[in-house]
Amino acid sequence: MLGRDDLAALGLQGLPDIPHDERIWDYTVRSTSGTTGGTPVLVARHVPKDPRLLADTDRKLSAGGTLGHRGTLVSMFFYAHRSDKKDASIASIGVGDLQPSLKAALEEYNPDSLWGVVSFVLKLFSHVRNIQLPTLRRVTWGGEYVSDQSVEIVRGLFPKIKIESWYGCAELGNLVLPQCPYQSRFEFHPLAGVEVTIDSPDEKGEGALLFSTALTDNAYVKDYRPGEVGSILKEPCKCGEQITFMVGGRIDFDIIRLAGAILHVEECERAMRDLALYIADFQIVASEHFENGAPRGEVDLRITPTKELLQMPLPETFIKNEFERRFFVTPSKTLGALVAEGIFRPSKVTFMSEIQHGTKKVRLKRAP
Amino acid sequence: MEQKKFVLKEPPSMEKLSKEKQVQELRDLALAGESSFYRSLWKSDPSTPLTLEHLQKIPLKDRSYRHGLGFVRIIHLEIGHVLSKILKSVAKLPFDLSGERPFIMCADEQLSLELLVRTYGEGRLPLLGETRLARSSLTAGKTYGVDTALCDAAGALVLLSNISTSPITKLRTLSILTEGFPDQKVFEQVSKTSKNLAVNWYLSLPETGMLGNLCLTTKRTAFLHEGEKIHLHEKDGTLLVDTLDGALAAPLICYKTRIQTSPLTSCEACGKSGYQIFENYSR
Repeated sequence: MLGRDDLAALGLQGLPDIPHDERIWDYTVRSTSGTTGGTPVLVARHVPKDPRLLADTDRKLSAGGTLGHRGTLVSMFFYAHRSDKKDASIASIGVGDLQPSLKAALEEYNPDSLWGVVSFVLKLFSHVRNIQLPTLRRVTWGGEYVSDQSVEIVRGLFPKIKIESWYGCAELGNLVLPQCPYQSRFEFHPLAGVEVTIDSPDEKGEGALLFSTALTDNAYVKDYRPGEVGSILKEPCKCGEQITFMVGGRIDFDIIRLAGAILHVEECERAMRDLALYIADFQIVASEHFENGAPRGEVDLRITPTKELLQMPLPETFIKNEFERRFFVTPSKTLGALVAEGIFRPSKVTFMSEIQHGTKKVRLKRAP
Repeated sequence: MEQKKFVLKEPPSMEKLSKEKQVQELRDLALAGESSFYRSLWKSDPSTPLTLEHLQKIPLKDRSYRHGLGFVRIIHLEIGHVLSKILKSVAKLPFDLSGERPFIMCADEQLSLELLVRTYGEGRLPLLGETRLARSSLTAGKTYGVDTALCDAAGALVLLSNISTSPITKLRTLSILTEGFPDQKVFEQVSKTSKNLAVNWYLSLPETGMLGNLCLTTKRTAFLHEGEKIHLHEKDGTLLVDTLDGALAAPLICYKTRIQTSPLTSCEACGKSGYQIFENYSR
């Protein structure tokens, strides 16, 4: 299995062979953001070449993510349209573009498709309220967990568009085909040349996702672990693709295994949604402790309370009990049930005036 | 009137023409072209200058005289926005790229992406740095072995203040694109930085692209020397611009910048002719 250090050693291997002419659009040099700690990994690689990627759009808008990600999308777009004679264009926006003039700028640009990072797309649409984008027909997003609520928000704004997910990482690039009509937003078909396997799968077939693919003609990555858990579906897809893999979430972020149980960010969000009247923002920090040789889980509910919650007689106890009652840790057992069985400690509640999420909104994470 | 279209690549003859003739050809094509923008602008007076307000009011599609695959840059202004399109097939940097591994580090990310497209056009693979991720960007820059950097003033400040303590050994040239008079803080950082680093200042407006390089004098004055793909002239103390860069889908003709300048004069630093730019200039 290949780690980040191995990839760092391999990442620039193909660089001397990159041509200094028109073919250069087929390449990108990318660095990881370094926000998760450690030295950033730098990779020179091909942009994904599948003709189905980005080619069926004339006015693309890329929204959010690192500048490197957005730059690579420009290269991908130009590569996909390399033989076109038409008047196609790509525009790209980031945090610095969330200015009063953005709404009119986007209405003038009038994109027909948007490719973005989930939290930025939501931030964008909340910034440009009532924007008119009559030709927008597709939103492709990823980079972060796609919740039901996120989909509902975009669907409410643009009822007729297609909403689909992408999956990839800075080091290896986009790894998947555009989603087919038979896939959920967590399922993907790998691009040609991308091999996906599961490291140490559990009884459900779930484990760390590993990818093998060529960076360039001279550099091949075998079994790289980007840091997500997932599984491979056993049956071929109805669309004809043989391989479908499912992404569960980021290891130690969106999905956390502890004390023999699995916490899913999606379930956290569902439980918290029921309590939306009382909670302005939240982050759940999970930890594992060994007591008498056995692991015991613990959940710290970091909450920005609303005034309705603060008006309750015992607000911390109220929110603790309501969350534990609603949050299912297994298909049949709530967190409250596992607390009663002694598998989890009673949950902690910490009220915070503001939760520092960093560049990505992290709803669930493992305590460092 | 016969409708003419620009071809995607600049005609070879265009390169050989004097700048005045290139501007005249541009005017002829603008008047004969499919877009009616300049025809309506010059309806009553063919010397009417183009202004930022015109650009802000008229959509890009109605100002475009060239078509093809390109990157659309969004320019945010106090009075609104302007879109500008850079065509991929003919995009080049407006100055010599004296390196193999370019590093783009601008606080203005729209400028970063335009420079990315233009650097690819030079056949070089750039690394995009981010000022908000300065440390990891500079670490990546060292790993990549960057030998030339392209920055705006804020990006240059981040780069210079970091490399003064942690040098990027292969870095030889730094090109700083500034919208106004060179920033004092950057100026001071440049003077503190290693003498092995050649620093070039360029005056560049988002809507026009690069106007030319700036010569800085010891008296805190600057002289603007006309770039290769631009035609500059002065009228009533204001700098006017014709963009001859074939990569711009909407070329600007007789564009009235808000830059106050002197008539063409001799540069106090290098002796070549240039337009004096004043320290109190701001957009």
